[in-house]
Amino acid sequence: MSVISVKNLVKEYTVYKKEPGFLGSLKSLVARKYEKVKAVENISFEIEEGELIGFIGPNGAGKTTTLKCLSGLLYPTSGEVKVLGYTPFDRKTKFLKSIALVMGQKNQLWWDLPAMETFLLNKEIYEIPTNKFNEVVGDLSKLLEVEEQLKVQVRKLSLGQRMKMELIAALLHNPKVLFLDEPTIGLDVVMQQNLREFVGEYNRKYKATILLTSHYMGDVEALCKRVIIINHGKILFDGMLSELVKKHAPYKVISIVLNNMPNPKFLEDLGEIEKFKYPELVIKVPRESASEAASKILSRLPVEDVNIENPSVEDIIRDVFSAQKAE
Amino acid sequence: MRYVKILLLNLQQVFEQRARSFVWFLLSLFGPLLMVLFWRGASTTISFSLISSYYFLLVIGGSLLMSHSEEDISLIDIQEGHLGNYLLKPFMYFFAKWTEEIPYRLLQGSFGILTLFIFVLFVHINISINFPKVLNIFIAIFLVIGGIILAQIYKTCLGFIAFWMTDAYGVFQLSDMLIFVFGGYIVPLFLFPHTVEMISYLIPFSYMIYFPVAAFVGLFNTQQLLLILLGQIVWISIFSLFYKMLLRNGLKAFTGVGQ
Repeated sequence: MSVISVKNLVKEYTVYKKEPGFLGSLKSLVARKYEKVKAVENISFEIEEGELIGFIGPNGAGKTTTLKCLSGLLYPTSGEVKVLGYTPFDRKTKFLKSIALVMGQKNQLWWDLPAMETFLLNKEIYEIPTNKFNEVVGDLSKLLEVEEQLKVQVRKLSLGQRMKMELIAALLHNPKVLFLDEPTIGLDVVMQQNLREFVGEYNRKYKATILLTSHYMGDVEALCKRVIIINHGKILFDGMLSELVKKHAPYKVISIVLNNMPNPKFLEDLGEIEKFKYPELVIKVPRESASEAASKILSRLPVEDVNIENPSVEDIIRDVFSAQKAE
Repeated sequence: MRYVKILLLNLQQVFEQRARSFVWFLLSLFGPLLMVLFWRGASTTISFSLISSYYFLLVIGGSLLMSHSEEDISLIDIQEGHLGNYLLKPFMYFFAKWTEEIPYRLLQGSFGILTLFIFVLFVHINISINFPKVLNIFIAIFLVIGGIILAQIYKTCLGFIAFWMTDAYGVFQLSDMLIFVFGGYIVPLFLFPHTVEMISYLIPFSYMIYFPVAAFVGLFNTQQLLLILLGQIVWISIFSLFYKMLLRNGLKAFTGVGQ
């Protein structure tokens, strides 16, 4: 049985629209114009126990709205959502004790007190036995390397340390399902890497089902085998990351550093020139003829360096969005 | 025990903001003090001891009983989306807000009691707390508890207006005005013209502060106190139903900020 099951989920918002300028303000005093905006439009997917899934999309794509519907914060306009067999919006105690939602831009920590006090509050709210609480706080703070900061006032912590404390606060009750909304936002690369490792470790250790949204493709590449791509409230792709690469990037990228100016005709025959600023040249070649093209380049061109690689996931996803726009 | 621990944890947070709490208390002190000065110079058949007792107990009552949760609920929880933090936890929203509010009330109520002692000791103000029967003491204590509950449910319901209104501040100010008049902040309600006095007994505001304070001053006999207690229970029941209804429908309109 799926841990998360979403069938034809629709979420609409009513948005007030005002004409610009003073006249618009006067008009809005008499007659306000409201518009329905579909944040999520008829999406369906299933997630099995222990999966770690990347939920990708640009700003306003509907990612956070979906996560909020899954965690019971928002009431769906229509459709069916089941998480661990519960309807999230009923917010049954057992359901709430089995999930956690961490939002990079929101916090639950008390600002004027050390993070430990918020942990103690959650201990009481989630009715966590003292032994288990001490064990989990000890484990998580060690894993995230924040043992020394547990008694420091939250306002004195760095952004990264605060995010780690947020994660500990959200994981104290050992949730089976974890929704992570931009957990690495605003963090430096070292901190991003630490958090990624931690999320992966948590997923493996507790067999937790994790749905992760992030703008950083590094997060998704490092953690998720399966991705769901969403834009304008619709799912564009749901499948393995490797399938996405195969399907949407049937080419490889050859980056060359040249010694001499080559014949332009020869370059055009090799593939699609993506960038050419002597001495640097980047060519897109069909996946199946990549090695042949590389050997041609090496034998016919005076090169200093050649590099063959898959296009970045970021580029592929950009292509997916561009293709949707073109449709 | 769980609730006490949560309350104590919230108390720590309030202690960190003690200076702010003290200033809020001072602001609420000036109105009643001004009224005491006014009555001191007024020629009236009502004893000054009764009036000063009333206003000083009103300072304590106002600080101890009157919740100010509505702005937090509307601006921070609903409009800025922090309600999500509460909804995700297996703990009733009402109790979560209440355990956050009670420490403020306890701290400010303590400031009120301290002020009373200072005035009794150094200004020699005569304070009379009047209970002709022991039963009246118990009823008065129940009225205080009822007042705290009623004020909290009422203010929570008021804050829920933000589910549907972008700017609920005007409604809050209107409510403050009604509480100011019918909660007995200006004058004890028995000094109002008869019709206004009767109306004030029928609406909920007098049950939040006025009746609990008046019970301690000894303005009512046992039978009247029991009737007031009954009225308070009725209002608590009515607002509990409102609370459920508003929260259920409000959550359907809640967007949680950021789509």
